[in-house]
Amino acid sequence: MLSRVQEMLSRNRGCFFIAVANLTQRRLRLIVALAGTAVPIVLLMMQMAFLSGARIQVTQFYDLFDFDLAIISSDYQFLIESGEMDRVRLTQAAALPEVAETFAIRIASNDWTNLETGRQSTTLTFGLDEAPDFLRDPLLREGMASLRTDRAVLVDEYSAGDFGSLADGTTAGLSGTDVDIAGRFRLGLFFYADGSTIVRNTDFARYERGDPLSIDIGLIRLNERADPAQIAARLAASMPADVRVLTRDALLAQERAFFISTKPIGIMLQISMWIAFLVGSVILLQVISTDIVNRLKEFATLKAMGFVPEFVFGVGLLEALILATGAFLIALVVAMIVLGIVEATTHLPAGITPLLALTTLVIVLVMSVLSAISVVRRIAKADPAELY
Amino acid sequence: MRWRDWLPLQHPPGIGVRLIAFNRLRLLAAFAGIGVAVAVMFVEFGLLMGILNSQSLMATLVRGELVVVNEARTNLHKWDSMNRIRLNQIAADPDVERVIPVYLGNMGLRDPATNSVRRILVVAFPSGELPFAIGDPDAVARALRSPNTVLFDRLSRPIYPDIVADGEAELNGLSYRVAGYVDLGPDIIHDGAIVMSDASWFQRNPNARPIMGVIRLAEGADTDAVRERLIAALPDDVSFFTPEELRQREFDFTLRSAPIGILFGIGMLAGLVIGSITCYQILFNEIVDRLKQYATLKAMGFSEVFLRGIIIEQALLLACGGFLGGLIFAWGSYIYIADRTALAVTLSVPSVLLIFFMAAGMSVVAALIALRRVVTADPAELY
Repeated sequence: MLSRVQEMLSRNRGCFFIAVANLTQRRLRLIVALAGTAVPIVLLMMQMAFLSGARIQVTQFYDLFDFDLAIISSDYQFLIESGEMDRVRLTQAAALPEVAETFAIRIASNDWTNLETGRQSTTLTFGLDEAPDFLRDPLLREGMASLRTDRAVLVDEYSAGDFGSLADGTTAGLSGTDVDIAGRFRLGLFFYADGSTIVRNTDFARYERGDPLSIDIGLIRLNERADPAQIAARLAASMPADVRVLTRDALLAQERAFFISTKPIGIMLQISMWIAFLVGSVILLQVISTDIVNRLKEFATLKAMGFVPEFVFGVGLLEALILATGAFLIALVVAMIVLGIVEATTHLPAGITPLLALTTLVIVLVMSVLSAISVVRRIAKADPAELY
Repeated sequence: MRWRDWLPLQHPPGIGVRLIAFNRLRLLAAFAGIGVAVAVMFVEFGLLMGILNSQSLMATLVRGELVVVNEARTNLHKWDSMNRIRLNQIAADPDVERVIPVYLGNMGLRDPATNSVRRILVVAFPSGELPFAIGDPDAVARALRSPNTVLFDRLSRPIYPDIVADGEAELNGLSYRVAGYVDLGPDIIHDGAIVMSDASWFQRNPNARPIMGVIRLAEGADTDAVRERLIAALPDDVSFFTPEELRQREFDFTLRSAPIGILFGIGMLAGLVIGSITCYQILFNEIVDRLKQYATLKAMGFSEVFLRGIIIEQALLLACGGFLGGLIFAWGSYIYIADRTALAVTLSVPSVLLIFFMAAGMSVVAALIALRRVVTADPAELY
């Protein structure tokens, strides 16, 4: 038994050495094969990163906050088209003993005026209640604490260049009123406004007239032992039909689903991802199998020398796997550089996550095994005599 | 003159065709490989153009010689309105026949079935003058003449309730009569639109200011001369564009606004690279398989130009076959994408030509690289 295992191991070592030697015999050809295999992998990684970046991006706003449940208007579609509801719904929710605290968010679309150049841009103004426990993002928490005067605002660091200087103490125009920048937060609303601003809800009315008792989104924090899903159901049952109560996860899932399946950019990114997946896999299969087929002579020689077909196939499979792994590593580096540039210019969080890298690696390995199998028939048929 | 005469080919016709047709299975695989690359380029290009064209849609639909907007309105999705008096100042020019004010706004359209409200774009203008090519001018004028009547954009995304002609629609809590349809089309931001007369709009917004003015000139007037006069006569808080200039400005603005150009441009580039690699591989294999024959030809004294001609011809034939396959696939996927996104994703002659030349270009480049193998082939070595 032991001797058989030893024999297998030594044979596999032989496989490995032959595969490596065969691959590295001609440097240029190896480089071309690696590059050719890396391109579809880069494409695959980038399209997956774009889509996952967009999925992270659409819930970025909610990720600034710490909450268990959300109350939204029945007209709610997504953050930018949230609909309005009566603030009294939050008071009603607070009556439940399991509810620890409530928090109101108001949203308005305003103009931002860069007082230095006179340029106007669109901005989304968020009004927040003063309840630091709801603020998860440390930068935002620090910013809210620094809003001391009624004309102080926080501004999105990722706002468009037309906004002008975003340094503390800069005076700008918000909805025709002079405001002072007191801090910054990071959001990036990519298509919906040039930038965004955050003010205290007590100051919100200065920028947006309208019913001061109506709010756009209500957040709820529960006592520690309460079950969010159960409380959400109880609240939903006790409220009129003009609002909906969702758990945090359900809200985020709905936000993502809306963007990916209804908004054109989301649909397009998804289509691009599927195309990259299909095309990438097919090209990968083709590139790897071509490279193996091109070494048919070597395989035929091995056969002529008397090696068993399993051994020859083992060499082919190993070559495919080594090629694929090498190309994957190259692609990983290239994709990280390109995505780093994309992230820096667009603020879309399109980095390579471990999950994404792992998914790609699995696809790459599966494709290389498949291509090795598709070549095995050619190897079996390879007649040494015919090749010379 | 036949197409071959345009190319520096020395070999008789038919060799390239016979060579690539020799192995049917490989030919199909080659067509498929290049077709996939062409399809990727088409789809990514279509997505990008769909976004760019949809964003500048309003400019392309303008029925007039000039458009006036607030100087601060650097793109059509910024809603800086104008002082109304500017339109009257423009109308004072003798060569200006009419200035049509356009108002934009948002309203909530209630779905009676679910009671939910969806935001919808409102486009308002004087009932007698249609500033955009979105329907029959007489029919629109007739429909909008009666107060509180709207026309629904037939191309809106299907998130709105069923709007039937001669039915009712509840907008911001008020009931309007739906007189019929127009064809406008949504963009990235707006999901749908309704059209109403400026009188109906003023009822809701007495202080509404125009966001755009469509200028129609008298017959025979020189557009550039009128524009010069208007720029000189009016303060610089307004800008003048021809519809084409406005479209181009919007197109460029959207392309430059960071994520869109990058996200879909990279996809297209990837298609091009993949196509080149596939094509190179196919041609390289083709050459390696027939190296003996090529070397024999060389030994017989045929020139390098002769051999190059054969291989470039094969590359172009492969590109044509793959292009046709990719085109058919792209045509189907455009229909699907247009249906899903409601954006203007269409195959246009320039885009088809562009992709064709890219496909042909990448094939020839791949052929030239693969050719190096033939050039270095030494006949003596092969036997």
